[in-house]
Amino acid sequence: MKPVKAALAFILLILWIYLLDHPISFKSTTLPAIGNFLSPFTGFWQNAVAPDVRSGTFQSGALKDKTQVLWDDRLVPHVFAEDERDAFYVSGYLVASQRLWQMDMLARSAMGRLAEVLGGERLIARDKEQRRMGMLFGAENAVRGWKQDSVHFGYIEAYCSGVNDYIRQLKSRDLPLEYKLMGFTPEPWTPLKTAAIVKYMAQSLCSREYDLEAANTKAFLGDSLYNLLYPDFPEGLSPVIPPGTEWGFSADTSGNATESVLDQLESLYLRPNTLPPPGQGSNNWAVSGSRTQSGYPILCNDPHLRLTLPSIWFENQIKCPEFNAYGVSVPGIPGILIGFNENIAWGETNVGHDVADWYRIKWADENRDAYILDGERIPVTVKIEEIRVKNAKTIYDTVRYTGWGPVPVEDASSPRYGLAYHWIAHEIPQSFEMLVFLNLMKAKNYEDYYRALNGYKSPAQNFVFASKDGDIALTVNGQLPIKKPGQGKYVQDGSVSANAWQGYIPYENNPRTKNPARGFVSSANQHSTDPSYPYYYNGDFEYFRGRTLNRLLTSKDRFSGEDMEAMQNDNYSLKAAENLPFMLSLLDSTGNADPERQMTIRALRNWNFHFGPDAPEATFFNTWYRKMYRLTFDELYGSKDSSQLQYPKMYFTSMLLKDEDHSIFDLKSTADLSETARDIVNLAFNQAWQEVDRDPDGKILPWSQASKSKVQHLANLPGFSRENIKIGGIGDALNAMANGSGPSWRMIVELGEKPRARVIFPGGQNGNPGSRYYDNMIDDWASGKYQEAHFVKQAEEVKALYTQHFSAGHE
Amino acid sequence: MNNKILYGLLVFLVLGYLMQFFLPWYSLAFAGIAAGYMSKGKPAQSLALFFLAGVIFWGLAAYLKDSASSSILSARIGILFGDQPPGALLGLTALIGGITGGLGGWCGALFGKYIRQ
Repeated sequence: MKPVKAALAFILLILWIYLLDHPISFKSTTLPAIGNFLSPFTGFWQNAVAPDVRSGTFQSGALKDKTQVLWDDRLVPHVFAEDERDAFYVSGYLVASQRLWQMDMLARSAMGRLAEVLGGERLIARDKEQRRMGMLFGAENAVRGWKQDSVHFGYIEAYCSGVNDYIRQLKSRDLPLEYKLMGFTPEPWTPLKTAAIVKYMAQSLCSREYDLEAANTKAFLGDSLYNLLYPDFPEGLSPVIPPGTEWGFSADTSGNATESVLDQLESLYLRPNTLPPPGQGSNNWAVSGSRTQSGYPILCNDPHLRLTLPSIWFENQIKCPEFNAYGVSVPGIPGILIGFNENIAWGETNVGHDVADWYRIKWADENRDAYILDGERIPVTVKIEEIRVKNAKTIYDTVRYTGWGPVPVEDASSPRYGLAYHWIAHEIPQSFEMLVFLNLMKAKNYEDYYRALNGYKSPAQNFVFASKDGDIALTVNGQLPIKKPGQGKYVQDGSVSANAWQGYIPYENNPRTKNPARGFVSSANQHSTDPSYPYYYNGDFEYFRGRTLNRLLTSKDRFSGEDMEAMQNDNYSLKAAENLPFMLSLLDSTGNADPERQMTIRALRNWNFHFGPDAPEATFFNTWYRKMYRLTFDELYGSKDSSQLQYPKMYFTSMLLKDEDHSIFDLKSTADLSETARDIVNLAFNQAWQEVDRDPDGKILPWSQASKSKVQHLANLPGFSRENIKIGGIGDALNAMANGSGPSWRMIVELGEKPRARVIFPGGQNGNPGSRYYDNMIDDWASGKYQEAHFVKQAEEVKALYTQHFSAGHE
Repeated sequence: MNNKILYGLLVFLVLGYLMQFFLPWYSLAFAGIAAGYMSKGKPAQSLALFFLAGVIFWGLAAYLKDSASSSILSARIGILFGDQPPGALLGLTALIGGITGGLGGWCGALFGKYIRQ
């Protein structure tokens, strides 16, 4: 009996270990291997007590000289390197020590390599889409371009070595928590992964276009209504470059683009890809010393990106013989993207020009191995995408590349035609695109800034600038395609080579302004220029924030740093200010005699249009406006193809309301009635009254409770996000909280003798959810507070919590 | 408590502690097997003894880490695991340590009995 009993016990033990050593899938969730995950020696408990930084000395053969890193009380590293290339190595090491899993996920997401480590049909589909849209292709091309500049490619390689040396010394118990949860391990970092994150940023910022929806909508609404609701340059704009700026050059604007090729199609164009969510805009401005209380120029920037934990930004100071710069980096991309040095400050907002176009191609035959261009047969290039899948067979996906770009979807029902995607971020750059930031880190004056910006490709940004010696400037920068008027608004005919972009606007002709008479420069994703700019452009622009910002910047003579703080946190909604008075004036008084309705209407009449966290008026207005918008454009929402249509900018509703009897207000669902704006406003009010968010006592919720602002974990893990944050703001306010996006970094730099910077971002420096530096800045950020950036000239000035010494040699 | 038990506990804790620095989580079972074998106790007694020892060992190790980190992470993981309080995670950790140690000790004692008979 005994051996059997012992053997049974042993089998039981093996089974127990096996069970706990493998992930368990239950419905759609997969639990990590629970034995390892809960072990106090290898599992998550180790991450609970992991030090934020491991002090000590580190040696690497990749280093030339010594580097000292001091981490201050905000967990910001101050890097003091003796060699520029070493500074990049150490930057890579540091950012990996704080954000390794995040970098990995961003790169995998961009390259279409998520299913490889996480599996699942949803991620397979997502990976396929990324590959078919050419994201990996674009990243590979970027690396190809970067290699042409061997010196700076060496910096990227140094950065990669830093990341990889960090990965190499990691023991499995020290792996970032999410690796333990998801059951995979980090692989070596490569320049391709850095390029993938650059493409990730490009996808977020410059892949937004409506070519397919615009073609559909134009056919659907007819030319006259379409042109009214979707103009290139509406009235009343306040563009980035002050109107009246002399351009000093002209452009050949002859010829028009071929119109939409919709009429040749049997059905609507169906979008094959997911567009980045709206709301990824930003504000930046610089005020000249003549208009500040201190007499020093002040530069401000708050990029509005998707708000995530770990945060998209990593704050750091890097000093080496060539520069001493402070600011924020994106994990995985070397260099400081927004920041300052002793002499200048810089920042960016997104430009919004349309640099992604669709071309309808005609296949030469049903084999689709060639297409027709100017009557000639042009062979396609075939790229076979290998998509590895966790616990499943690798998928091989064939993507055909035309001269225009990849053909993401091959529609079996339309065997003769396909849509090719032409995107600027697919092209091979002339040099390391991030060189612009390295040169800004070194810049001392306007001339350096002007030179630094040359050669930057995409995503195009409004680069704001201020210098200690008193200059302020703003450049709409990036390669901007030369287009014929109207080109790129709709799907174009890809069988005619003349429909290609006509090259790029020369750098010196990019829209720019330096020391304008008004004493400030600013941008908030609005149109770059007024219509007098000699080149044609179209795109996706913002219509409210820029006007609010420019109005505020002309509202007083001199500004203080505190004024700038108030502006970045300003919840004033110009959309509300322009629409609500009309809406209230059209409201039927007899139908709303109920005392509660009367009280709400009175409150709205007295409301200051601020989306403050405590304002129930904001909650009601927002619901009412949205209902009114949907009813106004019921033609589009009511269509069976509503998801394939383009929706007008909210800017136009207040203009339409002035024309009470406009046919757009007539509801399609009531054939026998002819509604006016008055009917729509009242109907929307009644709907809003029923549906607005209320507390259990029936009171309308204050805005922060209704808007449910949150900063979400990158993988959306419950418990790892911060939810229900008490903050105001709305997409059209300067404090642009919308759709999970918002001010991802607020920076105000005053360029005095020593630069003074107030900064904050909604998260923390450390990506470990067990660290107190994971989300420690969210509360200050939400309440509009700032923290002082410790910009130093010497290492001795840093009150260091942790110190690390890096030197040449082998461990 | 007799010497055999004390000896077994000592072997379990020292081996368990050392092995877990270098080996996977289930090395706790190896410590249990060794301790169960060496302590020469009855199988059922060893099962109970090393179960308790495993509970205390893993429970205490997790508790120390939890209190040192002010439960920041265990609170998050608790939410992730279906809104469980940190205490439930501590309990689950201790239980897994107990079962792993206990099964190991039981096997060790049974092997010992078989080999020594």
